[in-house]
Amino acid sequence: MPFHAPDGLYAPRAARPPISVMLVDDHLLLREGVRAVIGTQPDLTIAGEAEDGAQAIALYERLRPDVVLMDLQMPDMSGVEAIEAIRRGDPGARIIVLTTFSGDGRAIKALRAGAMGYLLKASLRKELLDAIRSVFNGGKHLDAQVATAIALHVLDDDLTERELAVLTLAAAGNSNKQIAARIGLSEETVKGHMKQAFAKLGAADRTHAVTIAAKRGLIEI
Amino acid sequence: MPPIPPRPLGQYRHVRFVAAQIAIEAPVDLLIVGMQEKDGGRSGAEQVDRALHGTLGRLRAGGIFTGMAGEELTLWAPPAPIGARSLMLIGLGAGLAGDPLRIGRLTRQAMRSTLCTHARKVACLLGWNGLDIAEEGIEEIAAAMMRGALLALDGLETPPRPIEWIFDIRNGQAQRTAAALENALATWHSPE
Repeated sequence: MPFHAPDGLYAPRAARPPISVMLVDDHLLLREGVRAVIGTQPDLTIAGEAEDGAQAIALYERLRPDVVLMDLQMPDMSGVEAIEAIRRGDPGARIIVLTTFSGDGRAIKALRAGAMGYLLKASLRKELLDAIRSVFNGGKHLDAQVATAIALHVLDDDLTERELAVLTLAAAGNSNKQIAARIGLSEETVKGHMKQAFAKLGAADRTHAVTIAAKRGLIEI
Repeated sequence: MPPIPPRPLGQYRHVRFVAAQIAIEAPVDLLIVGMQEKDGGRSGAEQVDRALHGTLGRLRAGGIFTGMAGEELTLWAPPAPIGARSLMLIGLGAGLAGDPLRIGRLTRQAMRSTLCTHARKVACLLGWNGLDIAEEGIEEIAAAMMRGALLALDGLETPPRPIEWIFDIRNGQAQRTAAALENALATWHSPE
């Protein structure tokens, strides 16, 4: 008995143009490498390249590529800020982060900003290509190492802006007294923020706290 | 459950279909599992989640992957004991309750997404355990899954590279399931 597809299950065949990809990274060598990989794929094409966040936002607005590959650490504007700006202008923008940072802090921020994928620059060629196609089709794509790091902390209490500021200044070698003077708080209040940060990070002391926060990508040092 | 040898079901557009008891340790390119919005305790994802010490559950609780129907998340290079090179989660929503149309759609989505990857050997653990299927619905669900996969293949301009696609038959009705999958494939006529 021949089967006739029920309504709602069948989509007709349709030729489609190549998936257009925009690269955002301040390192030319990285862009050249990705361009070379994408250039071998007939269903993918490079729409444009930007070397910082501001350029990326302007170029995205002009080109409206299907998929953006976005670095996180760039001059002037972070990748997360660029993702937020692009998604404000186009909530349907499909953005994959391509970074060296495997800690959960940056990954959670990027995903909450609307990134659909998070890959490490050490990724295999196949992973990159699979991720571009998967995200183009509406899926999400994560490196499992990053997913594991996210899972460990995604339900933790976030550090407040003030706690992060205190830790960042501590990472630069400032005492509580110096931190207090820098951000206009009393030394006791700084101690309080530090204690809260220790508790949230599971840290034994300030050095431990700074190390954990840096490793997880919560602060930059 | 005693081991049942894999059963070849046939081939369509370069995809070789097999029915087998899928182990999460199996060295495949892609393992596809269905995950509900809430812990069902019996879906393929719950078994994988236990093996991954709760990673998937925490991703869901943290809103990274919610399990909403049709939502899709691929994890590249999952750790042991998962033997697959990548793991694809597909959201089952609140549950499928044995709805053949919905399970057909999700299987079609799984096949379409697979065709966008480099995977050559794919284990589909999408349904069964989390489907709450009445025994009399086994054949209908199995056929819907196969047809969903075949519809995705019919959506291609040209046949894909060769793929081995394994449907799971650990639902306690292995012989009936395999027979229904095989029959759906044998009687398939492209809607063109």
